[in-house]
Amino acid sequence: MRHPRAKLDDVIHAPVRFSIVAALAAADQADFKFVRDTVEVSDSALSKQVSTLESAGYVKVRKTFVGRRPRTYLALTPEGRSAFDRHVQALRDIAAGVQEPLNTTD
Amino acid sequence: MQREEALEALVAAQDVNSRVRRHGRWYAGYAAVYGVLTFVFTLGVGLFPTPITVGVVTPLWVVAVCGLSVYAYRQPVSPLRFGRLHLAMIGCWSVLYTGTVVVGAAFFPGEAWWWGTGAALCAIPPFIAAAYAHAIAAEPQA
Repeated sequence: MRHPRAKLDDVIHAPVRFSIVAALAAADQADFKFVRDTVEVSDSALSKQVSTLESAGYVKVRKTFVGRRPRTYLALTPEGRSAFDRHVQALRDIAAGVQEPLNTTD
Repeated sequence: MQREEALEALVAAQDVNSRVRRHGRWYAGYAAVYGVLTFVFTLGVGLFPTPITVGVVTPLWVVAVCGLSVYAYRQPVSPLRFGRLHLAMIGCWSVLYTGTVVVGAAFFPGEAWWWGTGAALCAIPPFIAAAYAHAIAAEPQA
């Protein structure tokens, strides 16, 4: 039997990144400062984690202006959304104590 | 990872998810106000089709739409499926509004039954969008 932890996503698994992705999964896009305040991290910590998620292809960053003020918007890519859904399903399986049978090809 | 850790992670995700969804509720208010404004302005122009009414109502409508657009642009969160929802709402509204105004101006100027029905029809897409936005803001996920 294979433990569902094998299906956890290594990029999303880190607590701060998991919170960032969970926040973005609930919206089409969100302002950088809003995500920072929601996840309760510093600007630099959020930037670092967003870079990691962006490198993995899970998050896209869009910079724009509202009036004269620069604004940065974060959004999940379709890959990021799928990865989050799979990760949450793996967490649910772990919480439910589900074990998967090993494939013969494993 | 143990069962308790997985449960804690799911609860944390649910908490963050709910907070973000609540901030996406603004679109329900935006769409509801759009619905009320479109009803009032369509009725105003249709029932009193004088140059003065049109001259007053049209700039007021433009100012109101600009105000709503600025309000929308300043929001920190775009709710889930916002792009498709807004496009669908504006698309349906445009068809109904154009039909009501073009046909009404040509064949039913000042006729209460036409403009009352038309104004109510024009308000339906924004009100449906408002109800949908309100529902997805409350929809549980993780």
